[in-house]
Amino acid sequence: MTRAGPRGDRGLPPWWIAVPAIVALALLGLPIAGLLARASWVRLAADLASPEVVAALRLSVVCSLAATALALALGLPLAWILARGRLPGLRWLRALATLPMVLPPVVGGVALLFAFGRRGLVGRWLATSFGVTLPFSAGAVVLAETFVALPFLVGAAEAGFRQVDRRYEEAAATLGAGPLRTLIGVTLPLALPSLGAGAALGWARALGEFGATITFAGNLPGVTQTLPLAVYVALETRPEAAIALSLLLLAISVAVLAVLRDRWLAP
Amino acid sequence: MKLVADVAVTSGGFALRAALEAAAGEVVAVAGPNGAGKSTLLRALAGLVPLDAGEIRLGERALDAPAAGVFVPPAARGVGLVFQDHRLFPHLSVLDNVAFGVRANGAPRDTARRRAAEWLERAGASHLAAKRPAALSGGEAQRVALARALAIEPALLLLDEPLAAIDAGSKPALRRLLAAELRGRSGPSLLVTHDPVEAAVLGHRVTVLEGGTVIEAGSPAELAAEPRSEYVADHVGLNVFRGAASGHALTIGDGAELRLASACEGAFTAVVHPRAVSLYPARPDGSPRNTWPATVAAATPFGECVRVRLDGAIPIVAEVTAPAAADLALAPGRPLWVSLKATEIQVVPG
Repeated sequence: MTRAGPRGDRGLPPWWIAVPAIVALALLGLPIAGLLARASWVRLAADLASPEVVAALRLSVVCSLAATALALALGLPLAWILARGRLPGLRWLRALATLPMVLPPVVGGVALLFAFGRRGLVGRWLATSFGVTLPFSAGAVVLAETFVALPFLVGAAEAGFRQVDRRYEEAAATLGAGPLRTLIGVTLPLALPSLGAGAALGWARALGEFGATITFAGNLPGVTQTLPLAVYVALETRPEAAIALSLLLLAISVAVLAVLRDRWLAP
Repeated sequence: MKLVADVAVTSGGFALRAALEAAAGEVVAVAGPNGAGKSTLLRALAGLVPLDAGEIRLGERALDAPAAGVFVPPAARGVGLVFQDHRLFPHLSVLDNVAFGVRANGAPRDTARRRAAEWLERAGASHLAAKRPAALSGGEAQRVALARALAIEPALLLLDEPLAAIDAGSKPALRRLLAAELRGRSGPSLLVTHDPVEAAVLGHRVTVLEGGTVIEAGSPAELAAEPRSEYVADHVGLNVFRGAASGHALTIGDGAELRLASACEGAFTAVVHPRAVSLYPARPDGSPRNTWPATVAAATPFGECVRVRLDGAIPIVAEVTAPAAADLALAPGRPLWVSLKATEIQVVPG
């Protein structure tokens, strides 16, 4: 018996690779199918229009966008330092900036509570000096979402800054552009695809944030109850609303994937 | 405004120690083999590499003087640099590339774009204004890069191998543009090149860098008469004749004519290697189109050969072997006949 050469090879994997791969796909795809199967499409619009859903949606959008903006404002300079800095302990800074990505979100929420809570490290000073108490406020939601979104943004932006060809920055300098003009006119535009991907990922992560939010900001309808919290609560009382909200979050996730398709879905 | 530079830079085991000057309006060609330190010299002058020692002065202003603690950053130097790899910003149109530097030097947006359009026109690149750099050919990109550097009206202009990566078809026109722009400048210009013909044609003077030091500087003819290295003798020391071509004749200086192998019209420069020049004790017979009487001004031995500087209708430098020099009884004042085959004359526009 002779084995066919290239003609016999149709790119089909052996069964011991194919079967686990199919199980993996099923594991990923079946929950989505289950969600879609249970959805009552007729009532979807009515479910989504209920006041508590609208309130949760509005809060989620506002807080996640605010968190993304805050993460951009703070994360881009940090990413720049990680990419360009020549400090000795840079790897430790990078580890710290990545930590929230691997930390259980609930632990993040507890940590935020002990830092910014009424009796926390910074929170006590905030309360006595400015009369500001963060926990269980919309501000706490933004802070918790920023905490979890930052690693995604910083990671993507650092890679983006690294990819920028320094020769263009040299050219800008010889044309009379100082550091700020070079950054705004050359470095940021050249890194823009990565920065956009980082912002989209960070925003998606902020929008889906659950653990840190419920721990640090609580679950007050209209104040700190974001979409994921509303889904969790609704599952007990009004499952059809939970399904409607889940479909909404699913649609947003698919949209984010569509935005990122060139960077994350290409082989 | 005069450039006076004494550049000492050490980086990665390579040491550059080069002194050079360029007067206002002067074009100094920096020639030398690969790895001689030519690009490092330009980077130091532009401020992209700080000096370890020495000093760079442009007019009254010190740009880099480590001993005095002076370092003017690149953006504040008024030094334009045309990179060999162009470095056009890929995210900007050609017009915005040229306007970038004008904007950075304080012009409002509209003024910058208008000035950019004017410089593109001067560089013969108006039709490219809306394109992205990725859509340009090498020659087109070099025109735009030149316009971008000239548009900031730099006190000192530096060009790194401006014609090296250009296809042969675009070279003559680009060389003509370069020659015109360089000769029209009021400040000094430095042109790095490994092409001796380019150095001879575009530069008023040639500075030769080898192994990180200046080994010789002067006009191409001076270098030809007294070469101090193989590289200079083989590559840089050339006879250069600027003139007006009409048909097969190139008229140079006071009415003297060189016969050319092919017909040309307009401003041309003829380049002749000393080895292509033959010397005879009496008027030679045969086919050479260019033959004229001359007297020996100086004879300088170099290696196995002798470089002979000759006065005559067309002053020229010839190279002869040592035995031939003996046969010719070379000595200052000795009358000889110079002969030059038309096919040995390299003719370039500009």
